[in-house]
Amino acid sequence: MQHLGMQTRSVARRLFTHSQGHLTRILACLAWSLFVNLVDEWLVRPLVQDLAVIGVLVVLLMVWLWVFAIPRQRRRWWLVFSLFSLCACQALASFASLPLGRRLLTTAISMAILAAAARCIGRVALSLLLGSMVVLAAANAWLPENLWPLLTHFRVLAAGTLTVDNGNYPVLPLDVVKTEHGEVVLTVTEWPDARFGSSAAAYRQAVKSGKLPADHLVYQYVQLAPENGRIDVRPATAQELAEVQPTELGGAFTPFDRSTWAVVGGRLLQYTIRTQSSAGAVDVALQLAQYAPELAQLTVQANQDEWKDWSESLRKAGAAPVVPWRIDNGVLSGKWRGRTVHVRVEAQFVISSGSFTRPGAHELLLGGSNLLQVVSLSGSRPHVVASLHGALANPIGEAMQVGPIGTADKDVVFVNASPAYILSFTRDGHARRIYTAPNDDLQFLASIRTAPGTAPEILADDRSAVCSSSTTYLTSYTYRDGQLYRNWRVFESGIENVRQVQFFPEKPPYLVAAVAGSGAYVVLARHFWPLQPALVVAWLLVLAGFIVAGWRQRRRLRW
Amino acid sequence: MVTTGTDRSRLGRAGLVVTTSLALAGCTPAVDPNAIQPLQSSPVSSSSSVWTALDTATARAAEASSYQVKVYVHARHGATSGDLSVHGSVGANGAADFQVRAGRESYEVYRDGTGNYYAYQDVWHKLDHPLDLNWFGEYRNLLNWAQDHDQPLSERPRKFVGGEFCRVYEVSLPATVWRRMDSLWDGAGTALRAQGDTLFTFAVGISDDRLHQVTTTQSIASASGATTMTTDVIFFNYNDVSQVAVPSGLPAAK
Repeated sequence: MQHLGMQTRSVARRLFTHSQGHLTRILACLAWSLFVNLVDEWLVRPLVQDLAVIGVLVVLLMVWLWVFAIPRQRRRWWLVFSLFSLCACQALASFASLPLGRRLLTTAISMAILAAAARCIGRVALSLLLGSMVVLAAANAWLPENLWPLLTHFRVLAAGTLTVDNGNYPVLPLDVVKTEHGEVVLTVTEWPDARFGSSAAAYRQAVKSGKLPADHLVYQYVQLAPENGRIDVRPATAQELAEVQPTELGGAFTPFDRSTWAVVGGRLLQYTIRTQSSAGAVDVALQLAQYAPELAQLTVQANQDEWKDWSESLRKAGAAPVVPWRIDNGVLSGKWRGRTVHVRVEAQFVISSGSFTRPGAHELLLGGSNLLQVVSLSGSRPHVVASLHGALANPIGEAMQVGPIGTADKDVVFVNASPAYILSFTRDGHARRIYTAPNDDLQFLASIRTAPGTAPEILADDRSAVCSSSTTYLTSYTYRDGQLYRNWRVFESGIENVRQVQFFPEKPPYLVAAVAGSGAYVVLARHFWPLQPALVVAWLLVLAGFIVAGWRQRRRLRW
Repeated sequence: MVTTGTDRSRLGRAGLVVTTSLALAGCTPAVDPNAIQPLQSSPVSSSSSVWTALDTATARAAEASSYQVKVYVHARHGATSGDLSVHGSVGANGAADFQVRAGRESYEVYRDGTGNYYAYQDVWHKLDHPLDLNWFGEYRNLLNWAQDHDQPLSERPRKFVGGEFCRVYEVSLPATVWRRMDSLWDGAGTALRAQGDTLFTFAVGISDDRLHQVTTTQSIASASGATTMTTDVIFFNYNDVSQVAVPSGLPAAK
């Protein structure tokens, strides 16, 4: 028996590395604890989440092949150590959101239990368990485990969580604005926050002086901006805020709540107030037959009041709202190539600029009540070139993305209705539905061209091809002949508000995105390294290594 | 562990199946077999009989001595959304009680012969004007206006709502209807343009000929974007509500 133990130990040693050093062996083990987690994140979960029972069978096959490839005497050790690595990583990740004190305590307790189990069942050396914990904790600190799936297709340049109330902001709002140094992303976080140089004392002072109401959640505006080559979060200035529409960053729910602002210490702060007194709200709520006009009136009034408050507060903070295009009483006005432009339109708000009816055209997309209009700016006299009224049962005008779809420099409108669809305008101003999603879960996020002249990647949250669950994952599609074809999928759900941003003028644009339900954001850069195939190859090599080791051991035993 | 030749070929076959299934799945977005088909509306055979049926349904509903109502309103503007819900009963004794949730605030509303009250954060107040609960009359006015102006009318598939199998009719109403009907509402031109047309559906019970559901869908535009608003009002338990009790805590305020 002792003889056999010695035998296996020497085999295991040979299996880890070619060198016999103790240190290399430990390093190999630590690498293994990361490797099994990557296999879990990049291979096992995608298989199960995308292919349902087929995926489960494939995973079972993978595990079966692996388990039986390990020499029998070392099987228990490998299984226990791998399971320990997987469990420890999950535990470390799930405690990450706890406050520091409780986090340390729960982590210590759970790690102690896991380590004790691994020690008793698998006889794994304590030093190894400790090392594995440290490595996994470091990996989690670098990037939380729940974002690892993104790594197969993106470099994560920055990730963080801002404190927001889930009721106000189910998804962190992200708005890209241009500054003189490049683009920055504006978003919100609760105030006061010691990270951004404000204290609870400042809050009490502001309440005392009557600038802020008591017992209201207060938000401040922050920006994601490059600093010394890194993306950092810092307070936004009034000049940057002047470029945004307040509703883009607002967390209030019309028609019964709206946002308003206060200026404290030169900083613009946002909080929510009611649009109605209690008696007024009760009155409106019980006018069942009058909902259509009453609630519309409340909504429009709330938006007008918001805009008024916003402009006043901005002025107090030393800036004036910058509105390149605005629509007043049915007239679109703005400046185009130094010329003041007035166009009579039916629409009420500006959605985006782009080339909608022909490649390279300079056009504006406008929206109204169940209405889309395209205004052409080029030519001697700017005018409306296309108008589209939506179906009454499925109104258009809300939740849209604009972006390219083919190799030409022409934009289409991605409408996130249920089901979502893609609208394209023809040269003569007709709108054509060129694609309709076959399920209600598909929602378009963005359309990004990674290199000029190539077909763009259409990013969408879409459900699994086989599973009957409505969980959606970040997916890239290419549009071809009326159909979307999948390029890749990242098994990360809840990615929303994807925006393209040019942080550094000389580099390709980055993507910022929010993770729903958490106040988390990520800054991503697309990479094209075949990491997933590489992991498959690595897995096969590991499997081969185990089989060879087992074979050599058997041969030696036979002698 | 010795692998035999047959084992190996079986493994190979399994591998082939797995690879093929991997290649098949996930090329294009998945078709959802459980997706609800969009409700197709069809033209009505005789619009005058439908107008009469709708008129009768509102009249008969108004005659009921008691009923219950539930309301869900959902306004969506980009990532944010606002909700309103009302649950309540109108009792045989003329009393009425409603639980209202508007935005993030909750209220209870109570009405009886002595007056109209509402509670906010458990404190009761008296409303300074009577509550107008003549909903069926207002729906009837709307429908009469629609009939007079030949508004498009169509029929949707029947459905079970408010405890009854119902015929469902669809009517679209322009924003101008409100200006004519309510002179007090001075929304002016901008709000009218902002509101656009509203699509109504009315569900009428097949056996009891009463109004059981009214839904609306509309798109509201303002300078900051569009808001899609849907409302769903369901009436049920006609003549089947016993007395509405006085809420606890109210007598003190009276």
